[in-house]
Amino acid sequence: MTTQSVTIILAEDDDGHAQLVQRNLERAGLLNGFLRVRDGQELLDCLASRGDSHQQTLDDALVVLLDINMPRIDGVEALRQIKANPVTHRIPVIMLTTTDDPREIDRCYELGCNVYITKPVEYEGFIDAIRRLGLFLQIVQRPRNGGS
Amino acid sequence: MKPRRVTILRKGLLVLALPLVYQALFIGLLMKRQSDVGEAQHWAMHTKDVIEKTENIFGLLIATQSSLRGYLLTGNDSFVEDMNRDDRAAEQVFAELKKMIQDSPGQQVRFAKVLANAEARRNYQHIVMDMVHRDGIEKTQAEIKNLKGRELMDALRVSLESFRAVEEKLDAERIENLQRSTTTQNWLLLAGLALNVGIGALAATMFSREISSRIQVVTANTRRITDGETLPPLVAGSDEIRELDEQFHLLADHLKSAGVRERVYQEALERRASELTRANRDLEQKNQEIEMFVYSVSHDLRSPLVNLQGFSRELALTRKDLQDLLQKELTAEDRQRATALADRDMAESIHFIQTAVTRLSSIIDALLRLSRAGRVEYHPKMVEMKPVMQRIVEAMRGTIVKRNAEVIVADLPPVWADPTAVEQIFANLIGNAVNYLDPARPGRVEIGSMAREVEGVDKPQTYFVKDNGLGIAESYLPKVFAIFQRLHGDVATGEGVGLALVKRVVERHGGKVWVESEDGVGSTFFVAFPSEIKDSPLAGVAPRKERLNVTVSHS
Repeated sequence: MTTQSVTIILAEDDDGHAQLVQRNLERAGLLNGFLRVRDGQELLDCLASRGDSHQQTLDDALVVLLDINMPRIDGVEALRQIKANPVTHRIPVIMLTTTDDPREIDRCYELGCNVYITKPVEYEGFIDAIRRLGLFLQIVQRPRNGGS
Repeated sequence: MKPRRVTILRKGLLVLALPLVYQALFIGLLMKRQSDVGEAQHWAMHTKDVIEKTENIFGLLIATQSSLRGYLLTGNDSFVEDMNRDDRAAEQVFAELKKMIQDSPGQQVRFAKVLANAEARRNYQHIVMDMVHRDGIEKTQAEIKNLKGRELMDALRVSLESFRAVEEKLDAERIENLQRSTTTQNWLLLAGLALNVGIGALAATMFSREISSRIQVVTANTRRITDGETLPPLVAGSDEIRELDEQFHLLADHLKSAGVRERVYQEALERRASELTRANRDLEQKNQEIEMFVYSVSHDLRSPLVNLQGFSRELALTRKDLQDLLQKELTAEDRQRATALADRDMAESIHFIQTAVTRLSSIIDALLRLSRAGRVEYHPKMVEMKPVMQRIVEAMRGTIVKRNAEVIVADLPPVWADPTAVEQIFANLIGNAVNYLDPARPGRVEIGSMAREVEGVDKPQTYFVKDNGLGIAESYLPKVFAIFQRLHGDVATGEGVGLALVKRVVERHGGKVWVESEDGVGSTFFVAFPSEIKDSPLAGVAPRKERLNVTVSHS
């Protein structure tokens, strides 16, 4: 397993969901860097501040987990802004939401999200989704490692 | 009452009768003329008779003269018999003539002279016969020359000639008279016939002209009716043509009013169609809202369910960890770990499970409240708005003071609505305005009214609640009235059902609610009530359905 540190930013307004995601990432051994924000606006602010101070690592060391239904700026709008901004558009974005509406999924893919995962109520499924997410994140990082 | 009608039949009879009357008069005249001619003929014949009888007498007198002479010469008595017979015949003819000339006094004088001469002549004859009886034939023959028989005869002849000449003159006059009469009669006949033909032709022409010209007018009227033109005044007269024209005028009026009715129906139909289109659009919108509502509710129900599932699973995992720990001798480290599991993990899981249950419960409560808002019966009346607003503001006094806010209530017109509903609506709006003020500046909430056209609301009475609070981002505006949408989730508590409730209540009053806002500057919520509550297009929908469609909008 790579030792390269990856910062996962979770944008999630529901504390319980955030906690569950965090615990399962922990179990999967993916909690190298974890940051949680409560809505889209906070996420964008956070990215902007990191962009200023960590220009070097912004592209390759960040993954965003994004809920859709959030106050102020929702997940879809946040996704749009991230993908529209040349500084942040290469950051992998994983939509993580209770919504399984196909139209919503299509819209997110159109806007450029990398993966779309629904939060299943069924717990085993949820854990499985997080686990797959862990595998995915490892794959995402491998080329960068090989390159360096 | 009704004036006597001059029908075409009567006119026709009149046309026939005129020549007939004329002909009758004419025939009467002709007959009179005919009898005049007949009289003239009679008098002409009469004169001829008189002349004939005069000649007859003359012949008889000549014959008696001859018989006398013959007797005197021969002494044969047969001559005497002839003479007496002729004398008697002459006597008879004289008597007839006398009767025939009674009409002419001049001829009577002449006839008297003839009679006198004839008497004298007869006396001569008697004298001669007496002489023959007394003196014998020879002596008489000798004496006779002295008796001047010839002179007597001549006088008689002269007087007769005179009588006859006058009579012949009369005859000529009368024949001429007769001819004149006949000629006049012929001319009269010709003129009468010509006049008859003329009168007939004139009557026929007038009749046909009057009838045909008016029929042409009526025919033109039928064409005008077909073309939808206005008809000229009724044709003159009171016959069948007039009646026909009257019927056509009635028909035209009927058609015109039918046209007007048709237009009215057409307009009503178009109005209905546009109402239907609008209702359809409303329904479509409501349908979309329901979809969004169901989507929103399912999402909001699923969110706490994820927590419920997740943390109960976490609890199970923690329980297993604890069980594993408890199966062996507990080291100090294990004990610390077990304590951490119980205090940290289990407590956290239980906390989230409880939160999720509370959330689910409040969602269900909110749904029930919304459902009740659709069901509750309203009792609209005129509501004085200012006291209502003041009551609401008074109830929120604590929050208002805490937020350092100022609430200004302008003079407000009354509204026709359910008082409880009005209070519910404005309590929500004013509550929102106060709760979402910007802490960075002194809060100010204004409540007022305005006159403004509002689409879909009849004679709207519009009120507004204006604040200088946090405001709403443009991208969020469409969701403001939808259920379970909370923009400033961190600023105040709530289930996100307040504005959905407001929208539902306002719409049940036939009104409209909308918002204008600028992020970071403030929001203004508008509520428009119709001046009178009318049946909404959805009034006939069953309560259950109606309940469904009221709600979804935003916030």
